[in-house]
Amino acid sequence: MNQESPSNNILAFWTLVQEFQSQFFDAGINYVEILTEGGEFQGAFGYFSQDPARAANWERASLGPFEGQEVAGTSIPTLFDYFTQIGKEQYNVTVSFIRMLDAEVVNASLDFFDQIIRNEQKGIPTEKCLNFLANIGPWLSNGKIKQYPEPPIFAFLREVGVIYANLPVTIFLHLIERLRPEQTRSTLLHFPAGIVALNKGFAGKTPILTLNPEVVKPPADWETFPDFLQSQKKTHNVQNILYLDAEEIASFAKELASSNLPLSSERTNVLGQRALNLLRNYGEVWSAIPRPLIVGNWIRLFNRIIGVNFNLRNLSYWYIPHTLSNALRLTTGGTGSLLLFRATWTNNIPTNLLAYVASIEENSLQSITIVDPETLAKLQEEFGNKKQVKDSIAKIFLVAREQMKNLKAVIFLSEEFGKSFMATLQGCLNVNPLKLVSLSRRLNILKRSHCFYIYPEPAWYKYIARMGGFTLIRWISRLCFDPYEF
Amino acid sequence: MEAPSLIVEFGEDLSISFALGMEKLGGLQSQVPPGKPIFIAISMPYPEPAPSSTSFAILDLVLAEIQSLNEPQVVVAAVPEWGFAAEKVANALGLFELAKHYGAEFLVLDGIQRDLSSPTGIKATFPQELLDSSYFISIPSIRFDPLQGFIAACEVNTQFLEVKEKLPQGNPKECSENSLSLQDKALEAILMALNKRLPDLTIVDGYNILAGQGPALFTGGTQYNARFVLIGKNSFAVDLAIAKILGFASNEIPLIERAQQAGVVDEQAISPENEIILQQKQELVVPPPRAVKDFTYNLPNRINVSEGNACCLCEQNLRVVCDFLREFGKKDLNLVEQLNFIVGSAPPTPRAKKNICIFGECARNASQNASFRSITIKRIVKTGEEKEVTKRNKKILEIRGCPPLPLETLRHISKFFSPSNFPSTTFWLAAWGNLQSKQKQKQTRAVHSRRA
Repeated sequence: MNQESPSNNILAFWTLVQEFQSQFFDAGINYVEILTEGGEFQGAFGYFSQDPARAANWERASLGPFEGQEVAGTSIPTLFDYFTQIGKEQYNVTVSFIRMLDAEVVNASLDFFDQIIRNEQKGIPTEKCLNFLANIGPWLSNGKIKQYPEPPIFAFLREVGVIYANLPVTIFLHLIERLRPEQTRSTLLHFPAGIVALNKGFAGKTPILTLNPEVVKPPADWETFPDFLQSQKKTHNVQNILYLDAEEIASFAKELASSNLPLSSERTNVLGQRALNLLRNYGEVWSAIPRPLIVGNWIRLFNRIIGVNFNLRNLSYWYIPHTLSNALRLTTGGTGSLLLFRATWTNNIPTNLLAYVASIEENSLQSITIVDPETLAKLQEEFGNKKQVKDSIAKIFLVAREQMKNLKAVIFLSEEFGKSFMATLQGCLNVNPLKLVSLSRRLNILKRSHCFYIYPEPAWYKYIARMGGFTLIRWISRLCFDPYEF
Repeated sequence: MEAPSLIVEFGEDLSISFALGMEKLGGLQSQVPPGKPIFIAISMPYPEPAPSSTSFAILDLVLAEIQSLNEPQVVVAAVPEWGFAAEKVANALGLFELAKHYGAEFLVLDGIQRDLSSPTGIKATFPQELLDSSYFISIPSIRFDPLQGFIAACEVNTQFLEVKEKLPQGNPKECSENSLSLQDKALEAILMALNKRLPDLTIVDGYNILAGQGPALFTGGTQYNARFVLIGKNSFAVDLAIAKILGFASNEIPLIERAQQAGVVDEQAISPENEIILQQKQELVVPPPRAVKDFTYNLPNRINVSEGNACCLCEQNLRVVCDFLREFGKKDLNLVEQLNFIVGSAPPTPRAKKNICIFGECARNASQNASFRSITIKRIVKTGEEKEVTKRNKKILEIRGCPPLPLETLRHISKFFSPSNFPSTTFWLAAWGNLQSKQKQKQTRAVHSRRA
C-alpha cells in the first residue's frame, strides 16, 4: 500500500468518504474549512495540494481580519475572495470552495466518526446513526454548515428542511429503520474502488451498525455473483445481504438533489419513474439474499395461475407515478391544502398527535408546515376514541377549515400504519400462493379507519376501502405490473 | 339606495373580496325575505372537488352569512351529471357534514317533479322544491368546455331540469339535417329552466376556475385563479361579465349568443362602472388555457378519430372519452395496438380494419355496408391452391346510443378488450361506478339491450 494511503483499518471508511465527497461535493482538490462557534469565527484550515497525484496536505490558514468577528456580519463571497487571494499568494493554488462548520457540527461529526473508526468491532447504535443523518438538514437550515459555491445537495437538503419541514427525510429514515428490523443485515455498497460492507447487528436488543474495515473486490465474472453474495453472507455472519450499486443510486440522488424545489408535478413524475426503475432492476442495481420470492420463475408461475402477476422486472415504473398524480388531483382538485394527521393509539385514545399541512399547487407539493401546538390542541379536542375516528376526522376537517380556507382533505395515519408499511412492501416482494392470506390481511389496514382514513372520501379511496384484500392484491397486480414486455 | 344588480370585486383574498361585495350589496339581510326557506344551488357534476364542483371556500362564506340571519330553513342542493347518485356524490365530497355544520340541510332532489314545456314543444320536469323556494341563491363553479366555451351561472339551474325531449335516435338523415338544431334544443331547454325560476342571487367564485380541457378534472381540466368574486341578480349578466373577464367573445359562448338573440340578456345590467372594472381586468397576466374542441388535438398516441358530419352531442361525448383515455387509460393504450373511432352520419373509412369503434347510432347506420365490415383472408385449400375467403370483421365494437354516454362507452371498450387488458380504465370506472345510481345504470343498460 502507498505510504500516504490510509491504513487498512480505515480503508473502507476512507473509500466511503472519498466516494461521497466526489459524488456530492465539489471535486476541487483545494479548499478551506472555516470553524465558527456561537456565531463567531474561530479558525481556518486549508486543504491544499501542489500536486494532484499526491495525497493532499492540511495547512493552517489564517482567518486574518475575520477572526473573532460575527459570522452574521460577513458575507461568504467576501470570505471566498479573501481565501482565493491567500491561496494564490501564499500557496500558489486556486481555492475551489470554502466550507463553514459550526463547532456543534464538528463535535458531533468527530464523535460520530470516532465511533465508526475506533469502535469498529462494537459499532454504533442504528438510532444514533439515523439521528446524525437526520440532523444534517436542520444544520444546513440553521446555517451551521455552509459552503460557497454551494453544491446542489446542500441547497436541496436545506430547502427540504425549510420547505417540506424535513418530513421526506424523516419518512425515508423511518422506512430504512423498518426494513426487517429484527434481523441482522449486511449492506454491500458497490463503488468503483470496491465493495464496502455496512453491517447491522445487535448488542443485546439494540441494533448497531458496523463498518467492515476491508474493501472487497467484486467478482470478475458476473455469473459467480450469487455465490459471491452467499460467501459474503457467511463472512459477515448475517441473516440478510442487501447489495446496492452505489454509483447508480448516487446518480439518482444527484439528479434528485439538482432538482429545483418545490418539485413540479412533471419533475415528481420523472423522479418517481427513475426511482421505480432502480427498484425494477433487480440483479443489476440491487440484489438481496435471501432473494425476493417474486424473482423466482416457479413462484411467479404459481402466482400467475391464481391471477397474481407480481413480476419485478415488469414493474410499471412509467405508469405508477402518473396514477398517484391522478389520485392526488382527484382528491384535491390540483390545488389546496391537505391536513396530515399522525397519532398513536394508547388504550383506544389517540396520543402523540402530530399534524402537518401540505400545500398543493398545480398538482404538486409546494410546502409542508407543522401545525402549531395551539391549533393542534384545538383539533385534539375534536378527537374521539378509536371507534369514532370517521366522525372525529369529519369534525376536525370542518374545524380546521375555519383557519385553512383552502383545505381539501384530512389524511389520518396511525403509527401502526407506518410500522406495517415496509412489512407490506416486503410482503409484496415475497408474495407466494401460501402467503396470500397474510398479505391480504396486511393490505386490509387500508380499510381500517383507525389506521388510515381520508376525509372527504374520494371515489378511489371509497372503492379501495370497500374491496377485499384478495381483490386489492389483484388490482395491484394489474395496475402496478405490465403483463407483457414492450 | 337600491343595491347594484352586478358587483365585481377583484382582490388577492376571496374572503375580503366576498365581504366587500356583500357590503356593496347591502348584506344578504337586505335581500332575503325573513322567515322563508332559502334554496342554494351549487355545482356538483362529478365526484370531484373544486374547481370541478363549487368550492367549499365560497360555500362556507355564503352559509356563514346566512347562518347569521337565523333563517328557519336553508337547503343546499345539487344534481350530478351522467347518472351519478346525488346522495353518494355529496357524501364523497363531504357536503352533508358541511351543510349540517352551518345548520343547513343537503337535499337530495328525488321528490315531486313539475312538468314544463317550451313553446317549441320541448318537455322537461323541474323539482317542486326549487319552484316553491322563496329565495334562490345560485353558487356555480366556472368550468371550461370544448363545446360551450364555459359553463357557469346559467347552467346551474339546468342541472335540476330533466329533459324529456326525444332526440332523432340514430336516423342519419334527421341527425345530419338537425345536427345544429340539437344544440339549439339544448340551449332552449336551459333558457326554459331559467325562465321558469331565475336565481334571485348568483355568487361566482373566480378563485377556483376549472380551465383547460374541461368540463372535468378527469378530462384534463386544471385549476385557474382569476382572483374575483361576482355577485349578480341576473344570471345572463353574470355569465356575460365572466366572459369579459376571462377573455371570451359573446359568440364563443353559444348560450349567451342564443340568449342575446332571444332578447333575454340585459346588457344594461352591467353598469358603466362595472364595465370599466371589467375592461381594466380583462387582460389577465396569464390568460386561462382554453378547452380545445378539435378531435385531433393532443389525442393519445394510439387513438385515431374519423369524423364525418357528427352532431355536437356525439362530438362532446367522444371528446370526453378520448380525454379520459389520455388521462387515465395511459397504460391501457400501451396494451392495445390501436383504437380507431368512427363517428357521424358520413364517416370516412377508418385507418385500419381492426379495433374499430363505431360511436353512435348515426355512424352505426351509415356504416352498415361499409367495406371494413368484412375482411378478406387467403387460405390454402386441399389442392394446394390459394383461395380468398371473405369473413365478417369481428374486431369491430358498435357503441349504441344517441349520443352514447361517455362512461357507458368506456365500459363497452373495456369489455371489448377484456378488463385485464384495460386495467386502469376498468379501475377508475369501477371506482366511479360505485357512486352511480344503480337504478339509472340499469335503465341505461336496458335501453341498450332493447336496441340491440
